Amino acid sequence: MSGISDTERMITLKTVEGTLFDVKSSIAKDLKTVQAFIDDSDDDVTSPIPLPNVFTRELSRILDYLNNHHRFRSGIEKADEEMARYDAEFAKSMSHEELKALILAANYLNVKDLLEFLNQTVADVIQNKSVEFVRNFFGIENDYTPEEEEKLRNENEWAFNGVEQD
Amino acid sequence: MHHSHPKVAAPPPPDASGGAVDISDGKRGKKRGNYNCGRCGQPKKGHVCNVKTPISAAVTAVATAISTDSSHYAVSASSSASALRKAAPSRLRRALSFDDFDDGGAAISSGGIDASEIEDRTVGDSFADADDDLDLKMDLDLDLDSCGLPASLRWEVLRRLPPVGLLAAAQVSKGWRETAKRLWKAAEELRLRVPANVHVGFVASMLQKCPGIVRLSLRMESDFDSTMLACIAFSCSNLEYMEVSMSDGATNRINGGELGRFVADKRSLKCLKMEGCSNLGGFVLCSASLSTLWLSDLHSLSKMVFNCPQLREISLEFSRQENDSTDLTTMIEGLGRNCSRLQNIHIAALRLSHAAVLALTAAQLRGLRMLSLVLGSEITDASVAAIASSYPNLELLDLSGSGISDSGIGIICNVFPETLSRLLLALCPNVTSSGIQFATAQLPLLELMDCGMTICDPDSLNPTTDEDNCKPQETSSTNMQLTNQKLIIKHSHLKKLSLWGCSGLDALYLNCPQLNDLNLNSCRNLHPERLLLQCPTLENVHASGCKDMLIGAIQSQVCNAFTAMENQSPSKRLPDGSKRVRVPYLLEDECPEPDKKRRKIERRLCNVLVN
Repeated sequence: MSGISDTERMITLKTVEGTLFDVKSSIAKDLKTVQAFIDDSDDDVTSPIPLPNVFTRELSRILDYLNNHHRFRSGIEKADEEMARYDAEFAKSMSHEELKALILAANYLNVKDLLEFLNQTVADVIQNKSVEFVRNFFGIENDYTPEEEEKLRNENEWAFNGVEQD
Repeated sequence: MHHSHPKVAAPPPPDASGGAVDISDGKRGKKRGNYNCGRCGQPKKGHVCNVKTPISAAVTAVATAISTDSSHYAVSASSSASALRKAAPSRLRRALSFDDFDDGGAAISSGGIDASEIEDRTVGDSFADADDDLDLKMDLDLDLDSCGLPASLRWEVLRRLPPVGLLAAAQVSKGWRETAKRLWKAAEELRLRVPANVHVGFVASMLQKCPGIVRLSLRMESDFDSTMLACIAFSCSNLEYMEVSMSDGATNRINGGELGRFVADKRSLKCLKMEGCSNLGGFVLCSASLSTLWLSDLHSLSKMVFNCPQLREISLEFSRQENDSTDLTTMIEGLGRNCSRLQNIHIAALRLSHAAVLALTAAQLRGLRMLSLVLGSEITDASVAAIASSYPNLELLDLSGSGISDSGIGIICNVFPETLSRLLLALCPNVTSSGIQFATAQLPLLELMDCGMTICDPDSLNPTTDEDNCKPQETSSTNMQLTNQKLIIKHSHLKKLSLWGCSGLDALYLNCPQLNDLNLNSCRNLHPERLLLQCPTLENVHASGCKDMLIGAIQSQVCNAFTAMENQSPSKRLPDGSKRVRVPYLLEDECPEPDKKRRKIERRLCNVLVN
């Protein structure tokens, strides 16, 4: 066990493209997958941890989010409003493609708070949208036959009032 | 979890804490799902519930608040809402809100549907809360669909959708339909708004999707009849909590026999709340499990029998019609006989009388802690004496609308000082300011006091008075006792004080270090220069219907000396028409220079609500 306190240690993460990110270990704690890896190797992590599923763009966003949230939480009172504003901006700044990629990255890295937020954001986005929209958003193939689709649509006729056009 | 991990480490087993995605999130409890296991009430995080235990009195743990829409306190009626730590049916209005202090004001799952939620949805606006075990989640993680989205994420997203969204989601792909189906199956709580002209088949089909429903809340905009009740009875075999609220225009057609059968058949039903019960006619309710029962809009019941030995909380609100023929005394006798475990009683009925109170006091309900008998003008000081002698440990006493006088208050202060924390005496015409002052001086544990419409002249009351109709006070015909009254209240625990409608109040001096909420609606004659508020923790002052000068005086009192500090929030009109004037208010008296850091740390806003 090294004598250095946790908050001072830096962990290095390596993305798919080979970019290196230095992360404070207090932040790395929120990346549960990474933390588990650190725990497993007995705290002795000197070389960069490779993250074969995570791209630079996503990791940088995730770290941004975490850094900001840490700042909000440890700081002054009344940061809730700022935090909410930041979250809203954060969600808006991404295209749907980026949002989806970010969710997958956050899921892999197991970043609880961010995942919660992203899941909610996505749910809000797809609520009240048409089925086609949802398929496009996620890139899902329609595996229903036309008859099945028709049948389902009829059953749920009443649910489709008030659906926004894409 | 089935993700590939960095090559250097061995993949952790699926149920390692690092790998499992847990779905519970204790932090955000607000209306977004039940994060406690429905069966044993423990937080669900990392918890697999094998125990089939009844949900503990979760109703009492739910903090609820009656809406504080102060513009609806009709004199004759609705003030029967009381602070039984419950939410009255949404149509009841009271000028004072009764938050449960124990919960720190956090209103999780407010009783009744929040109308603002149901904006553009045509049907089924609510959300199914999907609770499930970790085991179920494990299966999902192994299943990636065509876009690479793991099923666990799909689950997370879908479970945040309202039922309508969930139904639509089922059409996206077969995998989604599967997930949706599982969500339905796992759903334990369903809140539904049933719009007008919707066939009961819709509700039936939705209920059939979620047979595991334990809690059901329906906001009916179409009639509620026996067919619907039968659907519920049929589909929801594990129902423990049912709440039916009725919108204006929707009728509750259930009769007493149907209700009795329903209650008897549902062996796990613990809590039943129903509005609009005007067609019951008479009933016999037998249930070994029922512990909470709220019925409102009752009218002329030929017989009311409660064979519910586990009943802890009962709330019976009778409609305001004068010709109610219900025999309250017999009903109360029956309650006393069969429901000896009652702790909270709330009865709102115009025909409450001294005889009914005597029936209650004869009943020896040893656990009685909260008693609310409102609207009964025939309740007198003698009734208070009877209550005090039989139930000396009350924590809440609500005798609003009764005929008790200052002597009655004297009795209360004699018997209850060690337990009473909430005293409500709104609309008691025989109570004067000396009685109120006496009460605040003698009841050290008092946290909530409602004296609405007490210090006022009944002659000048117009039952249809509302905020827009500020009648000037006619002093000629008033009883001297009821005008130019002065109140001096110094109390170390008082948190909420309501003096709404006290038009006889002329001067008010408050020194209450813990006071959060002060209601001065329609205190038309409160003199702006005879107002002194020394209540540093004040958060809300309700002042609609007051003269502008008074409002100004209030604002200047709750705003600290730092008037030089820029007022960052000018008044603004909110979409619902109310106006909020936010005034920054600093906590300490001896505050040093307002440097920026200081300002950010301690800043309490006190809202003066002028509606």
